[in-house]
Amino acid sequence: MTAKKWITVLALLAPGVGLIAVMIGTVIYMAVAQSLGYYSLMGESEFSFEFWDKMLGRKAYYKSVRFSIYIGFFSALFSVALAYPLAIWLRKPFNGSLLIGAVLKAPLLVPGLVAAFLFINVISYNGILNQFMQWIGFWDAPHRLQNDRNGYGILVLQTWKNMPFALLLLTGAVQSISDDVLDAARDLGAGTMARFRKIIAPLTISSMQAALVIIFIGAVADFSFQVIAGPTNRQSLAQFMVFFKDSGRWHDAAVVGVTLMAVALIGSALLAFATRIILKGGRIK
Amino acid sequence: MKQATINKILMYSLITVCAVWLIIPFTMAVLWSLVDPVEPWTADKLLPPVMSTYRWAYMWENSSLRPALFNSYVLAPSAAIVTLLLASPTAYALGRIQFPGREVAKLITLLPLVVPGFVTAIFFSSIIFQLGLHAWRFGAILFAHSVILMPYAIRIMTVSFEQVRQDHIDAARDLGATTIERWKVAYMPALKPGIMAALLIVFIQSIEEFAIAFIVGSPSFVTVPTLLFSTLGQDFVRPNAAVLALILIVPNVIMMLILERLLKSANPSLSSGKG
Amino acid sequence: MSTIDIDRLEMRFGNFTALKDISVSVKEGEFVTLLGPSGCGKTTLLKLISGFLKPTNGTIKIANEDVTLTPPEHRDTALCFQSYALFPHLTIKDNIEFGLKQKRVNGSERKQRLQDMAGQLALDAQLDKLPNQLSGGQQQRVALGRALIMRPGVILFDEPLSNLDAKLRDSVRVEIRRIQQENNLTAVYVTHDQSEALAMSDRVMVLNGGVIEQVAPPETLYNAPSTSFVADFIGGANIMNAEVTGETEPGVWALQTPIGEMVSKSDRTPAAKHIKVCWRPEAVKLVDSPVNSFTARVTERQFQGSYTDLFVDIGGNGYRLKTSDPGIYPGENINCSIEPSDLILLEAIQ
Ligand SMILES: Nc1ncnc2c1ncn2[C@@H]1O[C@H](COP(=O)(O)OP(=O)(O)OP(=O)(O)O)[C@@H](O)[C@H]1O
Ligand SMILES: [Mg+2]
Repeated sequence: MTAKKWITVLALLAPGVGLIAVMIGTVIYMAVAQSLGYYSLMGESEFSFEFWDKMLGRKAYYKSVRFSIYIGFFSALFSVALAYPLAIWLRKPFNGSLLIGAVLKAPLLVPGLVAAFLFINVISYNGILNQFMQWIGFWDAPHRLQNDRNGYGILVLQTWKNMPFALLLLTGAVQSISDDVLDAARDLGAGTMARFRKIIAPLTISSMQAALVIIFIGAVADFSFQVIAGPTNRQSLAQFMVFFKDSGRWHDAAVVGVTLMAVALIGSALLAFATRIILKGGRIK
Repeated sequence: MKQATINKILMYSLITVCAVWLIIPFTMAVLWSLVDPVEPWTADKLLPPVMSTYRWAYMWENSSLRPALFNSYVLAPSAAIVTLLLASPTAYALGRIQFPGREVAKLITLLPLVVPGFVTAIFFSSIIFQLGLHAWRFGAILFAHSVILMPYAIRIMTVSFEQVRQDHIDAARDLGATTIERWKVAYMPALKPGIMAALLIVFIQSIEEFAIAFIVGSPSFVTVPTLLFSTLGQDFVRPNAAVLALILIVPNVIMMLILERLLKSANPSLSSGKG
Repeated sequence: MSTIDIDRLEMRFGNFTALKDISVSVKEGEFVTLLGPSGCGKTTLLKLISGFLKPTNGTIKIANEDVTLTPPEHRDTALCFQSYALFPHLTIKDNIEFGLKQKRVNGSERKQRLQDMAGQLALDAQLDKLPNQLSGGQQQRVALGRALIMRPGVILFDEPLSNLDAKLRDSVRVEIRRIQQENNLTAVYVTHDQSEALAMSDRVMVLNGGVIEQVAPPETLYNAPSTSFVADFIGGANIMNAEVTGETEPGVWALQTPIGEMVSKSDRTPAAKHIKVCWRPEAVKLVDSPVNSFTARVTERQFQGSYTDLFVDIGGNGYRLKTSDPGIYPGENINCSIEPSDLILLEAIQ
């Protein structure tokens, strides 16, 4: 390539990729730098591990890391576990399959906050779910479902919002497996489970990893669902970070922010790796 | 099993799925938004005792709904256009020029999707503070939205640019078309659906984006999502929140219908967004 | 190896009847070809036999056991797909062994069978590759091996050679036949290539529009087609309407045809008074004869090397002749005749 062509390419890339690299790069740099004591908005700016040291001594910090990982992992797991059978079911068109697909994917269009509102509306103390359970005689009295201690509400909400996304990715992948290949497996004696384990899963592994990772990153960093529907005695990392920022403790917020990025990154890598190991029986090619 | 039985089972499963998945939540929201304040909707009644559009009128008159709508609907189209303008040159390079490091460049475009939204929001606001730019919140949010939503626009436009056929360009050149005419004849027809799709997707995402609008905008700059968030917070009035939730969802549904049309008429590979 | 007995099979897709009243039996070790134009229901019949489709009526027995409702994974059949349908993520070895693993055949036997099969198909060097690293012919052989290693009672082929070039097609064809005979497999083979069907099969079953036109050994099919569709589809024929005027002696029928009065010698009794008859272009002799002779004017000539195609006009109708004499040109009038046994009686005119 000539120098002139290089200049053209770089000029073209500058407003797009260039801007992204600069801005996100600066954000990451700022997070790391502030976590190490630089760029103080109030007092002295100097390098120190003080904020990390103090943070690592807090119980709430570990609780929050654990809670975020818990939410992220199970949201990704449930969404994908639910989406897989649906994707396989919807692989071949049948009467009404388009409609079912559209209904299942509709939550993609619903903004997260609206989803949270719809959800707490349904599960509220006098909400329709409680009424229904009492009506069928399953419960004697209404249960308090909102802000439950284990974060089940968030998991339901995350699954509702993210399953369609996983379904979108997996339907594409599952549909690209040819009928003949599945028929051949069947003809050779593979039952439903064997076909899934030996043919469908290995052939859709990259879409599955993509779905798991993207949902994991979104759910691990969740703020609004946690604030609205999550347990009141727990804090997600994002919530924790916002709490510090709101009280002007930027360096502490930065420590949590860097932790959150690290958790997202390492968690994604582990998830993708684990998927591969489980589905391919440890054989890496 | 008989075909009729299977069909019946399918019909029932479809109805159940619809109900649990969508109809119940939305019906509840609509009903709540219609509850008239003269008589509360208590648990023992199936429908609200008195229904009216009072809440809608009330929210319109007495909350920050109007400024929020104004902000959201100025912000989103601006973000869509700015994003498209920033993304197009990169998309052109990625789609039509072979250069070493192209794959790396493609990976970098995904960065905003990998860094959690609240981390971006908080440290972006920190940067703004350091630079002393926090006064102009609209500009800051517009800029941030443009950057974090750029991956979608770049991805869609790259595919569009890849689909411009070289023989069309060559033919136009061969027939003596000027650069501008060449763009009009060979590029625009192939790019148009991509441009529309990119604009719509960025628009929708910007309308519902919460983290940056909340962190950078608060407390003075409200958008519909931040307003909804505060309504869901301390002084939670269910009917008012229902009104806001419904308002927030309307543009999405309309835009998606348009998008669906567009994608159907355009190349199918756009909609799948593989790769 | 096992028998197949199909009884009054019918397959409807909604209102569309893809197969109607199919009854046929295949003997042990027999090689039967399903021949017919595109869309006539060949693949559908194969899918019914292998179990991917359930018939709307009728029964299928394999080895005298009713399997009409048995799912494919529990049938003793192996299907060779037109598209090969190799598993793209598995090596050749894993592809071939796939079925044995499903059946939980133990490791040492699996290894033995794999080696035999790879040897037979000359795939020894390919075992560790992935399907997309193989040539078309090799992939075809893997598909074949994957089916054959199961030692199925019935092996089914759906146009297995259609993706190969002409030369490879001949050699794989011979290969398939050899393996089928060596292992004495019962085989059903789908093709729409008539020469392939004639060359390979013990019996050919001609399908048209979802019904069986004729099931017969290749020679019979060619020499004594029973319908005008078969006559025309296999080898081509001149088909005429005829009126049966009488039986001159046992097995010899007098006919009134557009090219004059003719006689036909046939074991068949005419199906009706008005029937169709046919004669092969190559059955015509360019000599005068006391019976079945006529004069034809040549309108067009196509030299084909070992023979020459002539398009002729007889009494205002066009026909085709094949001759080894290259010295006949358009405009000439020639005297021709047909042996009574070469004039074939076909179905009644509806
Ligand atoms: N699932 C189905 N639903 C509706 N109609 C079908 C279905 N499968 C096949 N058909 C119809 O049945 C008829 C026979 O199809 P089939 O695939 O058996 O043809 P074929 O003889 O194998 O043709 P080809 O030589 O082109 O492969 C066709 O008209 C086809 O359109
Ligand atoms: Mg077919």
